[in-house]
Amino acid sequence: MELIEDILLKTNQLSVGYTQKRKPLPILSGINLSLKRGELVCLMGQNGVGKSTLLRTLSGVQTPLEGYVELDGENIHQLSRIETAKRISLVLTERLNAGNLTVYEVVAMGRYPYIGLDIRLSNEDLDKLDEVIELVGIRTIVEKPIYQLSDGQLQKVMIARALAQNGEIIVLDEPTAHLDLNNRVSVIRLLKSLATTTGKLVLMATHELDLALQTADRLILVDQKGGLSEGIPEDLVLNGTLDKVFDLKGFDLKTGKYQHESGTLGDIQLIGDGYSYLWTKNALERVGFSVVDNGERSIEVMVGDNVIKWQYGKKYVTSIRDLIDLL
Amino acid sequence: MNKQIDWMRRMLLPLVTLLFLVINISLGSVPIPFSSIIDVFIGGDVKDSWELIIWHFRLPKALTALLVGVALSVSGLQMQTLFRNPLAGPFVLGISSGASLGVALVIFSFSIFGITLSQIVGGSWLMIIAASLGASLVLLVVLLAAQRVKDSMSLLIVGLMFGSITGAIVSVMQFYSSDEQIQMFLIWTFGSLGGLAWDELYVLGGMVVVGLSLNLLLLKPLNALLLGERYAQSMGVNLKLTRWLIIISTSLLAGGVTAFCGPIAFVGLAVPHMARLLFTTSNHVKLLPAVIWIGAIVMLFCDIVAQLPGSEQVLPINAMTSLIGAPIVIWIIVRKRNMNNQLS
Repeated sequence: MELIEDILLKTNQLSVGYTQKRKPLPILSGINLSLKRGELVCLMGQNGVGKSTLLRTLSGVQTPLEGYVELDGENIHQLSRIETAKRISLVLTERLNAGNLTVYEVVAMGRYPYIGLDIRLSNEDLDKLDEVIELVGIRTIVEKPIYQLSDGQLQKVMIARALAQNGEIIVLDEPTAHLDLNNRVSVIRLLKSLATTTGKLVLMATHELDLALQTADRLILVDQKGGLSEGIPEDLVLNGTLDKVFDLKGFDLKTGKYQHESGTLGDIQLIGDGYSYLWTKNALERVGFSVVDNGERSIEVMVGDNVIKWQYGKKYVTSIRDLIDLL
Repeated sequence: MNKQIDWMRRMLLPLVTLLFLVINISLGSVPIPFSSIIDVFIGGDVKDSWELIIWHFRLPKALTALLVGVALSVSGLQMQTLFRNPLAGPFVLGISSGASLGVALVIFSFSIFGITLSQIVGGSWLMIIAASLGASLVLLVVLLAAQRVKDSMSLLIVGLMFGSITGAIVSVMQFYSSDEQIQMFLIWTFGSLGGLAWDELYVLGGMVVVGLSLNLLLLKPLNALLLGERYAQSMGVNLKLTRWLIIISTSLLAGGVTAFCGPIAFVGLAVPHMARLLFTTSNHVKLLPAVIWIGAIVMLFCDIVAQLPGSEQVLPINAMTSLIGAPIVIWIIVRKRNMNNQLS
């Protein structure tokens, strides 16, 4: 059941692209999307398919070639500059070189659409800043200058700044691009929980297929030919849309695994269960065996108290490495 | 630490400025005892020639130094933020090259009619007007370019190109000119803080005040620009308007200075860095007052040294600013080491 009032961002026959010599050059067209409050939406597609252009148009920075974007029933491109800033906030990938600003100063910039030219923060602004600093969990670093932050911390600061701007939509352009795995997970988890707790629409372009599949409420996929598909991640996996869009080679989305060239070293029957079975199977497939139900050779995984043993023929080994050596 | 810096900004900088202003007025080719200088200001009994020197030479010169320092430094700060480039300064948009073109045209074309500029009544105003017109002309073209180009970086390149063009034209004119004219032009390029009459000082002061006032309106957009143009736009900053205001403010500040005092290098580039390094901030709310005071101090100091205390010689101020300023910046960088993080 989709309630009409839940829909925050809606596009109608939207066509995005550029104008060159007065001629429209559409990159993506015929886009009809309805995005709801409280959702984490990931925009995915290979490089150069027009994700950024779409994102810019959806956030009101770029005017569409055709159609329109509706934010809560209002045409986004008719909002004033300040009004747009109060409703949509951005997190970008570009590197900052405002090294000497403190974290607090950067987060406080989120309040710029609300305050006068003298940059005086009201009590209301201060409360809001306090709230977002708590929400994002950057309390301990607020006095630090930006240049001392790690990439992960910096991204959180920029997210806090976007939150302080208090828009209904936060648009992020590859927020996890420069981050290590740990930080990627923590940033995406943060975004997911923000969408849920604050009821904002979080819209991000990303290449993190695995994380997007596990956290996004909805995916928008752009394929190489400029076609758009949209849906919840699981549906898109099962109906093969994701495979098509990403032209995945050797990665099986349904199992979430990289598919190995099978069978070069022969078949092997593997007996066992649980994690020990799974990881043994992984290792065998990686080095080039096919794991089958009935093979000439068989390996049994035996899990005892705190030890795992593998039996192959009459020999026992205590690590997968020894097992592979044995084979 | 922060409180200490705050205290330093609020108290120390104005005090040092005042001190340098007093020293600046006290020194000159004619030795005047300090008590007599005070007498001049409180209306005591002083030799007429001394009173004349103070009122008509030293005080205008000191105030000019102060205005020049403030104007160039603030304009340099704006340019560095707008272009996100630590090497930007007040003259990157071609203001000084435009002014030099105007002055060169006046000096060299008069030679065609066989008149020397010094023979004309109101020659100094003529130079000022020529410099202003030249600077305005170049700025006008840059402004037109600003309407068309989308990003500030292209604007920077347009400005630099105009610098090259005007430089080339001036070279060609010099090639066909007499030694006397070339020397006259050369002296103009040395810059000079002296020789401004009170009425000229008022005009310069007015331009600087208006230019500074524009800056008060620009604090918020300038801060937002520290995050980059796209972020600034997303926070509701009107980029085009901001760019226009910055250009207008800089043309008043740097254009005014160049018209009245000739090109004065380095201060505009160095002072913002000094302020950033001393106060470890990029926030314009804190930076602007620091830049204003440090700009005044640096210029007053350069002028004091340029007068070669105790002698009757005065060194070209344009050379002094670089000669004194560059080592200071190098010293601060070496001490702070992490310059790269400090630049905005």
